[in-house]
Amino acid sequence: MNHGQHEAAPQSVQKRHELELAGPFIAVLTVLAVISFILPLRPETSVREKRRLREFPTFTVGSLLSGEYFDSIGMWFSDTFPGREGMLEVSDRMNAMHGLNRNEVVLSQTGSAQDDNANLDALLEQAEKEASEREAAVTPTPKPVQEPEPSATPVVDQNTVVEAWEGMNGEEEAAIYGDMVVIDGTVLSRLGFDQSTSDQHVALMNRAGDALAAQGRRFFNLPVPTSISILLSSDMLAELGAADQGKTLRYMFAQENENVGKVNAFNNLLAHNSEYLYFNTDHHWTALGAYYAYQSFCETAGFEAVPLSDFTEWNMGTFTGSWYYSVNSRSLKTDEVIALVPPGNDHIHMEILGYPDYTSVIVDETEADSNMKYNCFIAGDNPLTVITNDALPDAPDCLVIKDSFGNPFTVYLTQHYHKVYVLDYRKNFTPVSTLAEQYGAEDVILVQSIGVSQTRQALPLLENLMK
Amino acid sequence: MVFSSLIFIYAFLPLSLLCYMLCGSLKAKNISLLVFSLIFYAWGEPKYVLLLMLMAAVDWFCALRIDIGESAGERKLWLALAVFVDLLLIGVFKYAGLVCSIFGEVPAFVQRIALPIGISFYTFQLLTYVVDVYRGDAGAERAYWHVLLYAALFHQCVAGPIVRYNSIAEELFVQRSGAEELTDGIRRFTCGLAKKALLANPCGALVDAILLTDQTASSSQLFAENLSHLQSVTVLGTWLGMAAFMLQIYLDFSAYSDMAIGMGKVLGLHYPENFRYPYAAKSVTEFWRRWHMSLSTFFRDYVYIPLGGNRCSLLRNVLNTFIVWALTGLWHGASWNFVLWGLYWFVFLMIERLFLKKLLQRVPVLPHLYLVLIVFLGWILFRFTDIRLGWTVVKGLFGLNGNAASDFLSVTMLENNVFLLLVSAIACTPLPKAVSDRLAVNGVWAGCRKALFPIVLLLLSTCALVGESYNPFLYFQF
Repeated sequence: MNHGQHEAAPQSVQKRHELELAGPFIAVLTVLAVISFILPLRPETSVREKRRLREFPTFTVGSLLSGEYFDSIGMWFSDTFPGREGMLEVSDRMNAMHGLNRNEVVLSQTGSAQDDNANLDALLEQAEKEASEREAAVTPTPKPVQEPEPSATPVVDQNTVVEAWEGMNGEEEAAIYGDMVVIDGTVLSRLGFDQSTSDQHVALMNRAGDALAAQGRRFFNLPVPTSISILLSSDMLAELGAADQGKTLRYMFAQENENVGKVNAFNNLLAHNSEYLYFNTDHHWTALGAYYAYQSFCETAGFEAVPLSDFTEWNMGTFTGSWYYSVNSRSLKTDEVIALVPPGNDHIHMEILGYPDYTSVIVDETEADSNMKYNCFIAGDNPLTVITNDALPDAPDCLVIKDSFGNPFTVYLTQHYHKVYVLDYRKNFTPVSTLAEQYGAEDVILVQSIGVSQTRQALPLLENLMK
Repeated sequence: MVFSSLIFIYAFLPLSLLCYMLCGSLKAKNISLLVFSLIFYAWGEPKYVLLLMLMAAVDWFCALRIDIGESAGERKLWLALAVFVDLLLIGVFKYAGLVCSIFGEVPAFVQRIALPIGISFYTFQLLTYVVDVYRGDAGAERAYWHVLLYAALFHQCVAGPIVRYNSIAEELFVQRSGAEELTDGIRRFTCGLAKKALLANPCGALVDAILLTDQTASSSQLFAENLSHLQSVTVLGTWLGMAAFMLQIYLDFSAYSDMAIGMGKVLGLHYPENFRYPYAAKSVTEFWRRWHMSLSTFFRDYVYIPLGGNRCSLLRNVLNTFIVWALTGLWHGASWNFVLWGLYWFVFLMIERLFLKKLLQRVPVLPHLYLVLIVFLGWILFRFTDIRLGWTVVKGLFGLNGNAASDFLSVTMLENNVFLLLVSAIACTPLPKAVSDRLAVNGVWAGCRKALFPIVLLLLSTCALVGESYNPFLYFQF
């Protein structure tokens, strides 16, 4: 045996030993690589993130040369990786190990309404001073409602085509609330005050109020406070840099004219803030929160609110809100959606453009995915919904313009109106005055989160609507 | 494409390794490597792969002419031409905007010039090639594709380490070892991947949440908003954000080097170490012997020493050092803050050379604290291209923006990232490796370290990377 053979033997042994040790890793890498190329295993939607996952990009020469095509393939590959939901769960658990997680902060680049908190007090003082100087600064006494003609049941024309803006859907709406904190197991959005958007919103409200008053209709503006301002103390709000939404409301109402019915639900919600008014894992309010706003609406509109005890609770089960996955906090309290079925529900039926199968204002979502439970209220966000209460043939009709906060609120209106036309302004671009005239609605009610009203994205939508 | 992307880990890497292993001869293996390297580069920059090929062609040709040059003057001429073309191209593609800004507004056509990925790395590699050929330290390659492979090799083309031609040529083209270091390579790659995905990325997300994203902070249109935001960050938040950035930049960059070195080892290629626990240094001088070592040694051997090094007058030596550090700063980015960042180090190196180094050697703990503080403040210059924002952050550290000491947000962010920061800080020290090496004496642990550990790291990193989570690479454009 020569010298070369002496060296070769240990070398080959070491090579074999190395290959044996590397074998498991190579096997795992190979298996995952093969799995990643089995296209049917790639998910198309994410339940956790409530979104459609990326699609394989379309080839263009331009995108190829710019590098965008290959980048998009890379993102598609990662976004739709087989088993992603389970992997995200593991990732969440790893993230939870980063710290103590007693409370949470999720800072976002999307929040836009953080500009003018420091000026809010001064602006409010000035606005209220000017309002008091105007003779008609108080909310007018509601005008007597005209006796309506009992109308033949209008059926939603399922062939109607509405122009919808695709820029912000229900899922994306959650993203506009910006920074989030988790306090005592509840996610709260750190919403601020934006003078510019507030002023633009006021101008739109005044314009809508004037236009509808000219048609002999009443217009009500119900800005929905978000949870942070109802659940936290003023000191805590200041420390978090969040606006006092009670002041935001007063600032806006002080500038709105007499043709706008100002529904201030803030104080009533605040008075009940120890109750389950807002979800812990979602930006929405509960049916109970919406009920207290309904009481405030009745006070402004001259109706007598139906007592809470007249409604029947229907528990849809555990709810996982849109913020649950945004904060990935193990400390979050659980939620459940409890709908309040209105008295006389048998006489109330609902028609939805595009979805003729839904018939009841409270939809059975007990078997739905936990993140879909909020859809139990008027079947979620739709371009146009018509609710008829056959038990009130002589009652007036109303048109509700709403974002998703309006869904549970709308249910209560069935107790005072014969027909409730519901328009989601993110999905239907038909101007309000046109619709109100077309349907003969005596009252027009805007139900919109203060968070959305402070957001620049929503203004063009409202502007279009108020034409 | 970045190494820490799923498409690289589960598509590109396995396919490239499979093709490599199916090739029998060294030449075939190299051709396979070249093809995959060009695909890797073209994936991110389809157009600029031509620039890479052009620069390699120029340096290949000039090196050949240098090799056969009959007179010293002719050889010098070809060297000058190669250096001129390399520097001209990097100048146009990386520094045109900065140069134009000196004279006024940057023309629109200059603003449209995109920075080719990795141009600073492969340009320097090609420079080492022609200079080494000129110096006689390396022979000129007859085959163009050899030079192209050296420059384009995907392991280190876009983010280093800067591999000198004469240190890799033999392994690349003459004789390459087999699978002797396969497990070491796999372990190094997965350690780098985990460092990036499990530590650097979360640290980066924390930085962005507190101190703006790079993109936002660099936007001149958002200057007023950015300034207002940074002024409002509490003292605790500012320290927390910058500490997270300090950890992120080391973990991110060293992770990429780890992955490159690991992939090289798998194929039997040995790239130089790029980091040696720089935050464990006791002086700025030592820090730069441990941080981005392949760049430091490049500047030492190809700029500082040719300029005269320290074998000259004190004044000339100071000038040489000044030039090196101004260039080091400039290499990191085409912005004045990077130049200042380089000169910041120059100042401390000079101070240390004059008296501080001797002083520091006499006290036990202080040198570490001094180094960490200097590096910490230096990263502020590095992070903010707008110096006014950087200065605001410096003031914010000491509450000079009228900012509160702390608030709910900053306390919560600290609480919720305390273990991440602790583990990241430990990962910056030699401790994990020392513990692992010590345990490796035990046969079972040694086996686990080689066979099991990489699998666990791979799977955890995959979970962290799935779904397009935060995954930037800070040194990608340098």
